[in-house]
Amino acid sequence: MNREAFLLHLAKQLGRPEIRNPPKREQIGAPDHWKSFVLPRKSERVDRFCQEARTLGAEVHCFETQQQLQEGLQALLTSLKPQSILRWDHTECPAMIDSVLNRWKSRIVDPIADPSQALHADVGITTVDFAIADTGTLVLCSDEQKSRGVSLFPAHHIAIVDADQIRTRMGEVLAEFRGGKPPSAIHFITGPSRSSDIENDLSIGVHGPAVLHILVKV
Amino acid sequence: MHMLLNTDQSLTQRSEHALKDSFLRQAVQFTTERLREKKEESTNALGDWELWRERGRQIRAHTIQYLDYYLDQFATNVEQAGGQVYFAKDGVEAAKIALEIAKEKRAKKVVKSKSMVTEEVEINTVFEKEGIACVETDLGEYIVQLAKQTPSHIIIPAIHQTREQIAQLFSAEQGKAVSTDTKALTAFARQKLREAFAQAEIGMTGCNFAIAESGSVVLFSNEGNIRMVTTLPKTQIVMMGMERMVPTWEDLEVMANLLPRSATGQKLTAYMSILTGPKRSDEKDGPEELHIIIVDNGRSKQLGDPKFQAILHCIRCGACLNVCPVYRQIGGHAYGSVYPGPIGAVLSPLLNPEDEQVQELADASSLCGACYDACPVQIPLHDMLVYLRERRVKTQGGIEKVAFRGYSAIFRHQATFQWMMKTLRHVQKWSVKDGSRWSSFLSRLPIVQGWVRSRRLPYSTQRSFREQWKMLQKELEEGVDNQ
Amino acid sequence: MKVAIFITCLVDQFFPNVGISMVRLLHRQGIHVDFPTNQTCCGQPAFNSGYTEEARRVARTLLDAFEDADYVVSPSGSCVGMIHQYYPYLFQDDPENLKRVENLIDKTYEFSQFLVNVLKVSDLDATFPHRVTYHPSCHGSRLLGIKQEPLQLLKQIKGIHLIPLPGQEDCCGFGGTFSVKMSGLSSAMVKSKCDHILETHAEVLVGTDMGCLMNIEGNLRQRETSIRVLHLAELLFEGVNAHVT
Ligand code: SF4
Repeated sequence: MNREAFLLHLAKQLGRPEIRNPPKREQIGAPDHWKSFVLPRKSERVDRFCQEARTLGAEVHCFETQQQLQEGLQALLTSLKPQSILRWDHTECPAMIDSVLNRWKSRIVDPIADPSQALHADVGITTVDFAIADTGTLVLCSDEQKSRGVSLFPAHHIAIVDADQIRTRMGEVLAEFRGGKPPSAIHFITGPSRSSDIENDLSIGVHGPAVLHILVKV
Repeated sequence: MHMLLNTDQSLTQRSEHALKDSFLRQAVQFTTERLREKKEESTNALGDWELWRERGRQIRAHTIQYLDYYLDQFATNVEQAGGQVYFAKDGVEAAKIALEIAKEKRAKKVVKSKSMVTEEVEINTVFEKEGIACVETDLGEYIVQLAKQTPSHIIIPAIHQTREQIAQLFSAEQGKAVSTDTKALTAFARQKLREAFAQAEIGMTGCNFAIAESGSVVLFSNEGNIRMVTTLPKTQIVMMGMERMVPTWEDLEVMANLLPRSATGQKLTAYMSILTGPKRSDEKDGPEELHIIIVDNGRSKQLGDPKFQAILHCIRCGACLNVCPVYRQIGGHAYGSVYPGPIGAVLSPLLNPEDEQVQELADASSLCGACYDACPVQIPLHDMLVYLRERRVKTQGGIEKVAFRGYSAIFRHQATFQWMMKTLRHVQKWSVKDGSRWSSFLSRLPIVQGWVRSRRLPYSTQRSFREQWKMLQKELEEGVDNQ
Repeated sequence: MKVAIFITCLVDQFFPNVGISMVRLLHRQGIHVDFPTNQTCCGQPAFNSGYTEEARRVARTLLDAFEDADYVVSPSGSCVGMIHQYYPYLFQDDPENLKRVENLIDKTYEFSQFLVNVLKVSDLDATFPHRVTYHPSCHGSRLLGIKQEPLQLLKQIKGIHLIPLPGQEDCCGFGGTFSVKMSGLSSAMVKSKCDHILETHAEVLVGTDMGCLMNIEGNLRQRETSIRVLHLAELLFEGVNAHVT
């Protein structure tokens, strides 16, 4: 059925001519009190974010300095002993990650060259675009350097968050994308992959990562 | 489009059958109880749930009232982002469009994420007839597919399967034994489905919400299968009921607050993906092509109908199933339709008005109103059930109609009412005895048979209130409050 | 204050004691109680089955019966809910009667609602030293929003031991014609309800709607349990008397 006919039929069912101009609205988005809710202090946002993420089973570690975070990442990788690593090509702190990854260079998988190995990678390392304190959520946008699979295929997802990226509510993050052309994919990630489809028994890591490590620089 | 799965059985027969399945009933009760409790916890924690519910209703009502405008805006924006949009008036057309895309891509395998509308148009059957394999990738849907069944809950599709049954299905699929341990079962599915994700030419998803102002499709999942389906295959097909729209990103925040809480009691699902167009040319992964099929399939009949338009507000959260005392007794299959529970009892008859048998679903309710209470967008399902019954009896004759004609003839006048009741009392005196026995004449009445299955008949030796009133009144007037 | 009672067909015919208790309790509050005898039924049985026209004809009897009352009080949340929620629909194309409907809605209350919200009494000075559990009926609590009122009245009773009913908000399976049309389902539902009631080891089940209580009692009697089933008005009246004697 063509678009015009389809839409005209709907208008007819609704008992009016087709509408050309945006309809007037009184209530848009969340209730007002929620829209004005912001945790004023950064430390509050960090605390809430960490607490929510931990409740959902994420492994959250906070670091005071860049140096400490690098050491933390190093230690984490050492304990995970990954055979294969995926990472975003370019990140907001590429040098920082790359200097750590130097030691693991041979384990880094190129998803284009070796898609099947990418699909079974042990570890994926990303930064984030935003994080949400209220729900303990990471927000990752896709672009030419930030491919979707890195936070999805591996068994472990390591996400590096800067405290300044943490917003209070989802609405603040959504507002960032209004107007312009949004990225092809925005993923809101809240805890590790999970399912309760088998007799209500919670299992972690169904198709996505089973472990979500979040390293926060405060 | 026939939606009934067991057309040879009536609703009563199907529910009697389900009532005998004690595992099913236990499983359904356990799961719904858990979901209900979790929902309550998470909505209570919000503290102002009713405000959110009301806002949810307002947004949905506005969107549906101007659905043509928002669909138009959505379609324009999808195209601008590089996607293609199709409009299908019914399931047959929707399936045909999807099939043509698949054929053009010479697809052998399609990976799917959970989508009720594709169940509605029976896409798997259509594809399989053409030699294209459809693989369900939601764990529950995968189990149901291997068992050659249909989902029995819109959020937890395999609510009715035991882990032993699941292990058997997986073992048969694998050719060797898979243990009944949840971890092992999940690991098997992860492994098996990864192969499918990598092979499939097409990824097919539903759509939880579509944002008009940007042409974005929003998908919620916990397992991550939806992300797989929208990351690996080269072509993505989205099939969506035409009512899935929300106007703006701001409105999405409300839906994201309502849907996971109502469905599973989560603040937010593990994944929420907002997808706008196919992957950009310089991106390394994501689908190269995006096709969005917008399906009517009986929905537009509700537009403009003051009694039923609000059914299009539904966000398919399943909360009404979890609180429904009928669903909790018999599970989903007894409804015999794609959509079970209260939403199904209303939606299925509405989408299939020509199908006589589906209309009886409106009887699957005691009209307790629990569904309305639970609904995050306040759809008055219990009223709609009555309106459906009203619509149905208009075209029906039969003994029930005669009975209610009689009822209204007798009850509209106090005198006939009183006479009738006196007569019935006499009947009762010699027939019901003390409520434990009843005459063979009475017990042959189907209405009595239905009642005495689990209950004694009410019995009263007293005179009616009406007959006692004069005395009572006198007593009160004289101040002899007889205690 | 002139209060007319809407007795409901079920209480009238099968459970006159409920009506009598209610009238006596109201009388004690200094209220002049009237019973317009031309009332019959709210029309709900027909309405819920889809027989709107039949329901409308019966509903008119109530419009006539209560034309002159200041207040209408009824021992059934379900029947009052019918008036509040569905009479406007029944008479939507009949402006004259619609006005009468609005008038009726404004003055019609369920019994516990009337005591607590209109008369503003919750302590009737009653004593009832028993283990009691309360089933909130669906229509009263959901259609009319009567959630706290019956509990407020019960909590004031001396000596009462109130036990919460597990799964209290679940329907008992009555649903009028549903109980015979879908008897298998209805039976399963009433059994679940009674399982929960028996779990509480209460001596008395109390409620505010005789449809539900008749249904529940029917199953309890079939199980030959001795638990008493009382309407709130009966329990309160018994409690008030116990105190006096
Ligand atoms: S009718 Fe309401 S409660 Fe039921 S699935 Fe739809 S939105 Fe959820």
